Amino acid sequence: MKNIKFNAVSATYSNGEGIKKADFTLNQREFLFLTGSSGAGKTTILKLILMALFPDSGDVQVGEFNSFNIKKNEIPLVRRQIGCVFQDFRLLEDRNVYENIAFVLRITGHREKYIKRKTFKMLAEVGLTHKRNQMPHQLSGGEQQRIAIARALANDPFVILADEPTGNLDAETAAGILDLFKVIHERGTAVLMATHNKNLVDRFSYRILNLENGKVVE
Amino acid sequence: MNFLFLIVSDGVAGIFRSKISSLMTIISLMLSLALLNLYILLSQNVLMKISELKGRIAIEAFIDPGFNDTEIMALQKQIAIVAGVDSVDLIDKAEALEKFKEMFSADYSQLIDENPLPQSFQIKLNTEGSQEQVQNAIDIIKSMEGIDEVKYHHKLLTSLNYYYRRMQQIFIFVGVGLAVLGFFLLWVNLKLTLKTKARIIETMELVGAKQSLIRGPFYVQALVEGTIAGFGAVLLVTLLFWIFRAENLLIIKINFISSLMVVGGSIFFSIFTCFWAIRGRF
Ligand SMILES: Nc1ncnc2c1ncn2[C@@H]1O[C@H](COP(=O)(O)OP(=O)(O)O)[C@@H](O)[C@H]1O
Ligand SMILES: [Mg+2]
Repeated sequence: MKNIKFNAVSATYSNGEGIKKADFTLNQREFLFLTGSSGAGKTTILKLILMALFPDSGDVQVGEFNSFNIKKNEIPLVRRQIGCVFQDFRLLEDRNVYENIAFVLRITGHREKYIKRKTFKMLAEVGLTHKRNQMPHQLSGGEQQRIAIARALANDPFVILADEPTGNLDAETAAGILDLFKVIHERGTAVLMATHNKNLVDRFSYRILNLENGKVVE
Repeated sequence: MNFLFLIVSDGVAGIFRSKISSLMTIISLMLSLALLNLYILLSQNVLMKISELKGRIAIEAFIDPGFNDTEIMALQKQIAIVAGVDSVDLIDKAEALEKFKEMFSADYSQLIDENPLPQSFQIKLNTEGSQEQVQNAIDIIKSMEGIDEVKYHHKLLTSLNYYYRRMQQIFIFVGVGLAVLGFFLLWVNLKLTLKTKARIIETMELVGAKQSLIRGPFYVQALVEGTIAGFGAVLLVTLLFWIFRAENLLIIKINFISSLMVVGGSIFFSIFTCFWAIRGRF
């Protein structure tokens, strides 16, 4: 039973902006939209989950780890049970598509045989096996995002965090990516998707968490 | 295993990814180390030569002609125990004449019946002694009864000491200066890699890569560049000596110790430079 729980979390940047008293739970296998206009604090919420940012007060529980008492060398362990997808894809530009997916399996210490099998499986799932030897910049935006999703799923995370995953894509490509998230969710992985796109949210009937000036409104 | 593979392949890839700056780092590091190697060799040789020269500098102390053999023997013993004195040899009249002939390449002995040259001691001084010690020893010997006159190459000794010191200073200054420049370039190169990889490193961290995996490749890069530069420097110097057939000019030849100093030093300082370059970044 792994979930994510925010307990009265406040986190402010030096300029006073940030999150105020956020209380919510992302349940196991749940699909949750995190909405709000640009600058509302969506990315900040995701950073808190990834422990790239720590609360000023309150605490964030991610699986068995808590922001309150986590050790520095445990932070990579938190991130390995989370899959991350970003608006700007964030592929490792210095290596090819295959190596991008294999990377997260290598850092977890899997055997080469398993890495190869799993990487090919992930490539097939996003339909890009034939692009495995290409460099990231040789792919279209949609293809890059598919590889990013394949990479996020490779370590069988209990949750996928997606920060405006369709923000840089045209409507048609975006729809394809959203379908992919739907499938991921239906297979049993929790999804937390941050977006400021109301139209997108309206097409689904998932739970919505709205952020306004750093405050969470259910 | 996979972990190590990832670090090594990432480090090596890092070198190839920034081919030009890596090549420039290696070349400049290699050149500065080669110069340093040359300096080590040359300074070893010059210092050797100087100490050899110093060893040959002897004091001549002329003996009162009135002294008999027993008195001369006693005087010799007395001089031998003066601090800073290495050895005392008696030059008798016949030897003095030989020396005189050598010096003027002529035989004046026919002109005079009796050999007029006085007996003397040839005194060798401890070469490690400082100028002050040397002067002290000379003063003591001068004041001894039975010693008429003391001749010594004061000027030569002083200037040799001066050049010896100067040489050491220049070698250390230039050699270390060049090496610092080489490692500074390595530092710049690593910083550059760090900068161009900043986004990739951030992404790696976000997907759960440990610090050792992120830092490791930088050490591999520094290690490879430092090792190539070190061996390259030794090879370059060996080649230079071979081309100019200069080996014979040296008393101390290109040796294992000096090569080891260059290669080992290069590796050590490369790692240290890397530690310095990436410290505090993460
Ligand atoms: N590193 C930072 N330093 C200072 N302020 C920041 C930083 N990151 C974000 N902010 C501010 O915090 C607020 C929330 O930002 P963010 O979480 O990125 O919003 P969203 O993702 O919803 O657009 C914004 O006002 C933004 O300007
Ligand atoms: Mg954002």
